[in-house]
Amino acid sequence: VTISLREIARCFDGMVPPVLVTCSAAGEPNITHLSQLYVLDDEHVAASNQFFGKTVANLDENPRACALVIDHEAVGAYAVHLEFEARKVDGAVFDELSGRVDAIAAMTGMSDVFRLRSADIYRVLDCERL
Amino acid sequence: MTTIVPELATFFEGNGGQYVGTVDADGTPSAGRGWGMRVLPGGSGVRLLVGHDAETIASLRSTGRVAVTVTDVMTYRSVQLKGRVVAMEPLTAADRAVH
Repeated sequence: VTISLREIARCFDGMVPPVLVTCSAAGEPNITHLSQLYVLDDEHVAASNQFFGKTVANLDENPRACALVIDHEAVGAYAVHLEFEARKVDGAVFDELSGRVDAIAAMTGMSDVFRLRSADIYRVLDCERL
Repeated sequence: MTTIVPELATFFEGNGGQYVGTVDADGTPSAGRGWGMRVLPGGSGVRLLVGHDAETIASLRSTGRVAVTVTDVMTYRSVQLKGRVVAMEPLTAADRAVH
C-alpha cells in the first residue's frame, strides 16, 4: 500500500461521502456513493451497503473496486484500490456501521429511508493520491 | 442512444461534484474526479475534464468505458451517465481556467 490509510484518516470521517466504482463482468463501470467507509486496520475497510443493487451484482462477478475519498481540509483526493472479501449482516463491524448510518439518517431526516443492509469488507490493495 | 434532456443538461453543467469511473482491460476499476462538464449540442454526449490521474487516463484510452456521476453536494441528488469515450483532446486555455 503506497499510502497508509492512517495517514489520511480525515478522508474517512464522513464529512465528504466517498464514491465507490465497481465493474461488471462485461466491463461496464458503475459509481455509487457510500455513507460510510470505515477503516478496520491497515489492510481492510468496511463499506456501508444500503442500496447497492448494481454494486452487489458487480462484486458477485468481479471483486475489484476502487473508492475515491476526499480530504475536506487539505482538499486532496485519494484512490483506494480494493478487493471485496465478505458481506457481514451482523456482528461488531455491522453494529458499528449501523450506528454511524443511523446517526447520519437522524441528522438528515432520512431515518425512514436509510437502513444498513450489510457491512461489506474489502482488502486494501493500494492507496494513491490523485 | 440516450439524449440528455435540457433539465439534466442544466444539472450536469451546474456546480455539482463530478466523479469518473473507468475500467482497464483486466477489469480493474478506477475512480477519479471530473470538472467542467459541458453537454454537446443536441444532448448526444458530454465533454468533461478529467484529473491528471494516470490510471483513469490509461483506462479511458484502453477500454473507453466510462461512468460519470454528478452530485449536488447540498442535496446529494446524483445522476449517472454511462458511455464510451469518443475522443480525448489536449486542454485549452479555457479548460485550464475551469480546472
